[in-house]
Amino acid sequence: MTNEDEPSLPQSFWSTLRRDDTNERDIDRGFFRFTMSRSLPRPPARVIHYLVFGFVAGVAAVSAAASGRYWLLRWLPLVPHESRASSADPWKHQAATAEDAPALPSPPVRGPAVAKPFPSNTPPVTPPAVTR
Amino acid sequence: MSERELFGLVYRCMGTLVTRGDRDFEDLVQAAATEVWRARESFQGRSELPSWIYGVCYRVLLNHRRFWRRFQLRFDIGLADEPTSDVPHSLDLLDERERAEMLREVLRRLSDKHRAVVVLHDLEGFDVDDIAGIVGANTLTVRSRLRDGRRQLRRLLKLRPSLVWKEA
Repeated sequence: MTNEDEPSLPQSFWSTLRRDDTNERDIDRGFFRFTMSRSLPRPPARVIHYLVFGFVAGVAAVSAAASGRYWLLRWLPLVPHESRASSADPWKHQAATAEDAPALPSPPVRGPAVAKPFPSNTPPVTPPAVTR
Repeated sequence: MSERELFGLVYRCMGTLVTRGDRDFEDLVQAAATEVWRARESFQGRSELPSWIYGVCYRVLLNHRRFWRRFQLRFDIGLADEPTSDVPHSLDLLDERERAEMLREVLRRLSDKHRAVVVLHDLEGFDVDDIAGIVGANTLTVRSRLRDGRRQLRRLLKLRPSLVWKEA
């Protein structure tokens, strides 16, 4: 069985289709659509690397911040710390001026003022009990 | 070959296989271009570039039709065919573009497999062995489709006496 069993249509039929050239503007439009829809994603391996390193760095930061030493907070402007306060002036209370401060009642004076002894952590020495 | 030239080749090959009046033509071109871009690294030059692109376009076309057929069966979408005008025209009154469009309309009535073989052989001038490589079938199948396609085409053209051509 060959293709000569059914002869082809005359060439005038096909030449009509051949003469109908493709419009270049249609191709340009299709090419523009194709280039706009074509996405260029990052390689998956690189994305996985980013995710893994980001996860490890995040876990390290959180664990360090929660470890009790708070070394990470030293670099954050949340709490004053010696390392940042070394070059600055020592912190002082703002002293109220004499005009703004309310008049304080004078303490009652009862006899001569006796200075209390400086408290010490040593327990008081108790005399030994007398036993008979 | 630049990307634009390669896309133009894909556009022409798909236009030959499905005819440009098909309602899915633009989507088919985009899908075929995507496949060509994805597989162009694997093109080893064992065949001519147009033959390879025809093969890619043919597979994309069949996959698209298969998907669409299942989609229609599943969701029962009844898309009516585009109305065709049966008003007889005279070839003398038709200009070249209208005549080509009517011939394409006749070609669209063939099945995809028959149309591809007939067009590749009679319009593009591929021999049977090349077409067998493009469509992934043996030569006997290609010859059978060629014979049946030509027969169907003659039958369809007889239904449209306005498109009777003068024998050369």
